[in-house]
Amino acid sequence: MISRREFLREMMVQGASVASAALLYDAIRRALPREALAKGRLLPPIEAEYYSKEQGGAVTCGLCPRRETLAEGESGFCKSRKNIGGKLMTYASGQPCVINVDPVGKNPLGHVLPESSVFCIAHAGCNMFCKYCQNWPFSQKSPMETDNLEFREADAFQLAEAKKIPALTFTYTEGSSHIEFNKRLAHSAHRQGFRAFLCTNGYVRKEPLVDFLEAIDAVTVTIKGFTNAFYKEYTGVRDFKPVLDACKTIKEAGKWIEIATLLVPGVNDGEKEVRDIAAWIAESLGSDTPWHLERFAPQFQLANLPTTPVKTLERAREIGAQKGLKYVYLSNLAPHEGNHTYCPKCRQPVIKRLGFKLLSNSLRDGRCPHCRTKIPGIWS
Amino acid sequence: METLKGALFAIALCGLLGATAGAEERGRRAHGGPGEPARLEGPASDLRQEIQCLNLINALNLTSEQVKKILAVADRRDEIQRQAGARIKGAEEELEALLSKLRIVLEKQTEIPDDLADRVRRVEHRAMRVREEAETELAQTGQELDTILTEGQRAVMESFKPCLIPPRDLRDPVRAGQASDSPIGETALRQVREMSESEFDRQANAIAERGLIRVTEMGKYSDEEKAKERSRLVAVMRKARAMSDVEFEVNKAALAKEFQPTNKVEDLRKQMEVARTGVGPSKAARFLLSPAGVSVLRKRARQTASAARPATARD
Repeated sequence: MISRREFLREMMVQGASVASAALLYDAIRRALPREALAKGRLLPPIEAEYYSKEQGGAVTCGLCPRRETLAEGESGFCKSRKNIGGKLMTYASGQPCVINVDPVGKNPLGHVLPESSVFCIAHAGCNMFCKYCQNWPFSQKSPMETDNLEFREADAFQLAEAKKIPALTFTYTEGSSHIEFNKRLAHSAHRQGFRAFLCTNGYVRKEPLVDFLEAIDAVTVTIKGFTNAFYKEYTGVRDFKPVLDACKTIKEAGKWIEIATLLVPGVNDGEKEVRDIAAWIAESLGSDTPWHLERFAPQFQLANLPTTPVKTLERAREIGAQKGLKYVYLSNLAPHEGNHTYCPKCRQPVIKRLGFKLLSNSLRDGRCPHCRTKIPGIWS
Repeated sequence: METLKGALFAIALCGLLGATAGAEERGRRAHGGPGEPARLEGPASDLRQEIQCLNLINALNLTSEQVKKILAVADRRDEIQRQAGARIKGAEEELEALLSKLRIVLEKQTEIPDDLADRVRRVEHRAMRVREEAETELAQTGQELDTILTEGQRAVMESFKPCLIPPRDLRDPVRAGQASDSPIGETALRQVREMSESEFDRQANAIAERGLIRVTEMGKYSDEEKAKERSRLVAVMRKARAMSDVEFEVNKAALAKEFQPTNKVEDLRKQMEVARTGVGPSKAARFLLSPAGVSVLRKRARQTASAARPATARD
């Protein structure tokens, strides 16, 4: 049994490490000249695709269902596309604001290369305005406003190869809003033997989506709610049907698809809405489609709301199962049995996780090791 | 900013020592026995332990069933200790009488009679055996605890370090799709990369020195060890500065770990624990079955029970 003294000693010793890191940071901040604290790398914009020229120098963007017509000098809702001299130009031209290496489960993708980390990349800008966006410093800014990184493709692939990273992911902001650069990079990744994944809000028109999907292997689509009222109030989108259409397009293209829904207390966590989403996934995409129910944390313009109660998430997971979905996960909540993958036939856990961290994977050739049931996904 | 505030708050808390003046109880705690250093426990000590257990129990997401099982193990441990205490008491009383005789012999500086020495050894050995048997039984209850926890919970236990303000990954876990949680080390290195060459050359040693201050207060570092650690930290900063943006972003987590000053005391303590116990005692038992841990679990069980009670007509 640990004594009081041991507890106190332990706390002080651990505290020393935290204190050291803080003192280092403090010393560094004081050493920096002010101008060094602001940094931005901005390449010239490139001409966008998926637009048409209109009279009087205006342009109509055909990338997302907003189909905005922009006058000279006007930027789109996504903040990354702009009418310059009668041409639609995009600033998402190779200066990402975020690069990370994340576990693939963080996408979230639960049925894709579970032992892998992925190279994650994002430009600033998004075609939705989600009141609870956790990446709002990037998604609600233009590439002209963010601190961007110098990106060299050769460096990225070389590092990915050296670290045995098998794929890259367009995530954090809306990858389809930066389609020109991302599509090119995804094709390049394929040529070099890497896979490419996309995390998207699904608010993209069919033609560009189909083009993009040629170079994409797996997609996570966030179905944020199931009413136009919710989407209008909380994401700035009037009609969410294009999101559902995009999911069907991805499925028809034969790409692996997983769905993620963030449950926000008092906003979209009601049983009816959860049932509607679950029923639609099962009917339109199939009961094998993994569904990730994510716990909300107070964020951005909804910082006043509480975290999603565990019981709400657990109930939503039950509803998903009742509607026939075989793989329903709980995200942003660990440890929890909802983190694991279970064989739908014998109910044994076949992949165990602690949040996004893989604890064990007992699948053999994509099958349950106990009853040999095939578990759908991309396992190698 | 939040991370820095949290870290600085932790510094302030870690710098506080309990008050030693005041009530008689506090005074007694403050002063050790003859030859012992003054104790550093204050009136907030019990509260500290409870908060540390609360942080752990909150992070484990225990089900009500698990809480019940753990409390049952705690009750069994109490019974083992009570029974062992009763057995030891008999031996201790006998030993006290023998040791009193031994003291007289030693004060007279005469030869210790063989039969007295023999009886002291036998009774001492008997008391030790009772303790060892009790410790073995208690260790088994600790292992039982490990079977109550899930694999995920055991993984959380392994990485848990007691603190008043839990680290980011317990308090605000990294979320699906989250771009940046910016641990303090990564942010610091990013800033180091922004410095001009001349500024870095001027400041590098001073930065490393400040980071070492707190750690070296917790251990006796020789001048040579300090110089070595300082050089190591400066080398990490140079390495970070030499990287391209992509290289840095891909390697930042590992670099930030490298950028942590070596905590000599903690490293040695861990080695000592393994050397002493072979594996180390069950970490789950150390915390969950401590008086503070059991107290938190009992409150949690009561809260769950009252939440599950059906509403009465008045409700």
